[in-house]
Amino acid sequence: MTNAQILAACRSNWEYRGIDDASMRDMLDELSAHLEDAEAAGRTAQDVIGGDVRTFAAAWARARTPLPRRVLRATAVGLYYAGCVLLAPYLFRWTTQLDVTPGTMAFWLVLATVTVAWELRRGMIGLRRSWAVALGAALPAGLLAAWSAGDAPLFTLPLWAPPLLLLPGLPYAVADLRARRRSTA
Amino acid sequence: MTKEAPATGDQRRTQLLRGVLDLCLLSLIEERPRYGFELAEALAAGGLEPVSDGSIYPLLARMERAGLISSYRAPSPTGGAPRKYYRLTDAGCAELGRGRADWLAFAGSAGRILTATTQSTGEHST
Repeated sequence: MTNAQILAACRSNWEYRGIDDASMRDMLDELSAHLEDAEAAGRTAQDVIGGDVRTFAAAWARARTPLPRRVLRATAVGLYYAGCVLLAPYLFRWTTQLDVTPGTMAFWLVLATVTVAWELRRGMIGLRRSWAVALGAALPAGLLAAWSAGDAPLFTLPLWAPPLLLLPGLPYAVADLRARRRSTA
Repeated sequence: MTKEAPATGDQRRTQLLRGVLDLCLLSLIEERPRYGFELAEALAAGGLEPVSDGSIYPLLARMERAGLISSYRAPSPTGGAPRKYYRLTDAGCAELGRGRADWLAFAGSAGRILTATTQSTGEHST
C-alpha cells in the first residue's frame, strides 16, 4: 500500500465512524508526517500502521472520540444526507407530498447500508467505485421489493419532513465549515 | 474449561509492553516535548519496539483526552510540514509519578520472585 492509499483508507474510515472534520484533518496531518519520516528513515508503511489499515484507523478513532459522540454525529450526518436525497424528488416533481413505495425504500436503505459497510471494510477504492458497488446491490434490491410488494405507497411523506431531517446535521455542517476555513486561513 | 496455551516470548513481551507503554511515553514526553515519530524512534532506541509505530497514536489520543498531555504544532527540526508535539500537563506529571512508583514496586516484587526461583533451582542465566 502506498502512503496515499493508507491516508485515503483512514480518511474514509474516520468519516464513516463519525470523526469530526477538524479532528480528522489533524489525524491525517500527523499520520502523513509520520509516514514521510518513516519512509525517509527506511521504514515501510506496514511498520507504521501494522498489518491492517482498518484496524489501525478504527483503534485511533475509538481512542480519539468517545462512541456516543461519534454515533450522534454519524446519525445526524446520515439524516442530513437522507434529507438532501428526499428533498430532490419534491423539487423535480414540484409537489408537496411524496409517495414512498417498497421499491424506493429498499433501494435507498440498501444503498446507504452497502455504502457505509463497504467504506468501513474497504475504504480505499474511491467514491465512484464505492457507489458503483452500492448501486449494484441496491438496484436489484429495489426491483425485487417492487416486484414482490407492488407499487402501492407504504406512506406519504409531507414536504416538511426532509427539512426536518436536515436540522440535526446543520450544527455539524456549520462546525465543519468553520474548521475548514480556520485551517485554510 | 479451556486452558490457554503458554505465551510465547513475543506475546509476553507485547503484553508487558502494553501494560507499561503509556508510562514510557509519558516519561519520554517529560524529558522534552516530542512528536509521534520521535516517540516511536526513542522507544525503539530504548529497546521497546511496539508491534507498529502507529500503535502509539491511539494511546496518545487517549492520554490527551484524559488531560495527561497536551499538544501544539511547531516546525520540525528536520524540515517539512509542522509536527504535532506533545507535552506533559500537571496531571500527566502526577500520573507519571504514581505510575513509576507502581512499576518499580511491581518490577521489584516480580524480580525477587523470579530471582529466588532461579537460585533455589540452581539455574543460572547467561
